[in-house]
Amino acid sequence: MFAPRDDPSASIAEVSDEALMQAYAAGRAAAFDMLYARHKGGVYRYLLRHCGDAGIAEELFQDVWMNAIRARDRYVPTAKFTTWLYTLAHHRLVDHWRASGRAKFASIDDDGDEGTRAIVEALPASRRDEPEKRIDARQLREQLHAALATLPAVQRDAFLLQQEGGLSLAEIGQLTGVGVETVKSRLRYAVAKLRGELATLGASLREESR
Amino acid sequence: MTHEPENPERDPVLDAAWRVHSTEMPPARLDAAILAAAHRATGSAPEPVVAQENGTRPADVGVKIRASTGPQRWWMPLAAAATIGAVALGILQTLPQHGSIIAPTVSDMPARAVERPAELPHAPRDMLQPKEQRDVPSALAEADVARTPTVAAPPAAPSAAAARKQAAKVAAPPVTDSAAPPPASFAAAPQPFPAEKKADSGETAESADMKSRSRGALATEPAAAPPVAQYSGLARKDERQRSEPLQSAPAAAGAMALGKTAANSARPAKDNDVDAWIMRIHKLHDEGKLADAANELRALRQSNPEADGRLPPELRAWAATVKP
Repeated sequence: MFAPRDDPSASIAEVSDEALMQAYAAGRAAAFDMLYARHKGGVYRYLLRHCGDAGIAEELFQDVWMNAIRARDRYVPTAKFTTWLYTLAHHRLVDHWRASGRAKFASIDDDGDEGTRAIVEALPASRRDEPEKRIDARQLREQLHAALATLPAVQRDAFLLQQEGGLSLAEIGQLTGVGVETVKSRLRYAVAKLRGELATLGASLREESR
Repeated sequence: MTHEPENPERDPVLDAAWRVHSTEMPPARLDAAILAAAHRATGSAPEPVVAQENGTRPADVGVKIRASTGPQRWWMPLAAAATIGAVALGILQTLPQHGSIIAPTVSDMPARAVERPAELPHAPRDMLQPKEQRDVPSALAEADVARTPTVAAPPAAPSAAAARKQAAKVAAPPVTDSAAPPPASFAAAPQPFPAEKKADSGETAESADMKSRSRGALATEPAAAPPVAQYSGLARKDERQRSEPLQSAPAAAGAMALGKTAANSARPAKDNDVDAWIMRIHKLHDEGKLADAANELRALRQSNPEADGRLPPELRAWAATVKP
């Protein structure tokens, strides 16, 4: 399981998220500051990757944290704080899509292999066949985000919950209401598609990593 | 594809690429708004998020936030203390005014209230002098006027003229505890009716007690005269009520003197009266007022023929020289 990417050091990790949230529910505002510092980036990117629009993402981001503030008294540490927090974000995203007339999480089935394959095949051939000798970071970022945007919502959701929230397979399944195997399948497809998209960039990435 | 991960759900290369190229953060205004809302919910002030954006580690931010969420109103006890101090200072400044106002209200004697301003400058110096040398305030003299019937009950006189003379003598300020002449206000003051001086023996003892109390009070605190005045006033009123039958009688002054002497002769002298009389004679004698002491001794002899036997030894030689 990945730790939240905004968790910067071991010193701050001494206090768990659950303890901080309970401290905030007890009236210590400093605990919320620490929680916010830990998870604001992940939640924001989770919403931004789903929406693709910074304005909407900011609006949803604020709503998520406001909901967390309002729900502090009802918080019970039966699960990880990140699971609870990304559940709030996930629900807010669903509400947003419903309000906008788009039900993205239901648009593509988990194992819609045909659809997924179709999407993967629909990736621009020009990008896949693009020369990879001089790929700068900006190009790689744009290509990565574009590839993620082409994923089905459920696969993208599972991938983002894993990457940004650091949630485990079980936690993702608990959050999205599906089984672990379903989560594995979604992740497998998402990774495969992203890997295929970035195949042309793989050699460059490995060279950079060396 | 050259890399085949063991876990098909994870690709280290993809993870690394994602970490590097997905670094967006919410704008600072959102941070400020959310933190402000969070602190409003708990009633505290948020720490500016600028610190973290400048590179400060979140742990340091937490420390700063903890410091900022300490006592928010530390200055309130200081303000309260300053307010209390100011109020106390104001009260202290008003206290002397209250003291100067309250002090004169202790006395309800008109004569004393009139003469007090003239006596005030001398009061501290008088208090330092021995008791025998102190000037008796006019209030004491006036109080003594009320007590005079109880102090010196003159014996019966053979004639009305002698009775009048004795009455005038009794009405004079007491010579027992004052060497100063009576104030002018006393001479001009209306003299009590001679019948007031006729008091029975029980009243005499009560008045003597009051006199001693008033002397003690005056010796220590001049402002304590009013109770004496009240007592003497009550005594006067009581005596007036009892002397009304005498006042209504058509008898003249001589008759009143005769009545007084008759009452004195009919009244048995008590041991306390004789002792007080003897003490007064002793005092006059010690003060060198031999003539007054002789007069007192003669009066005592008339009242109590066996008075010489009760004199102290040091007075007996002198008493032997006093002729009846």
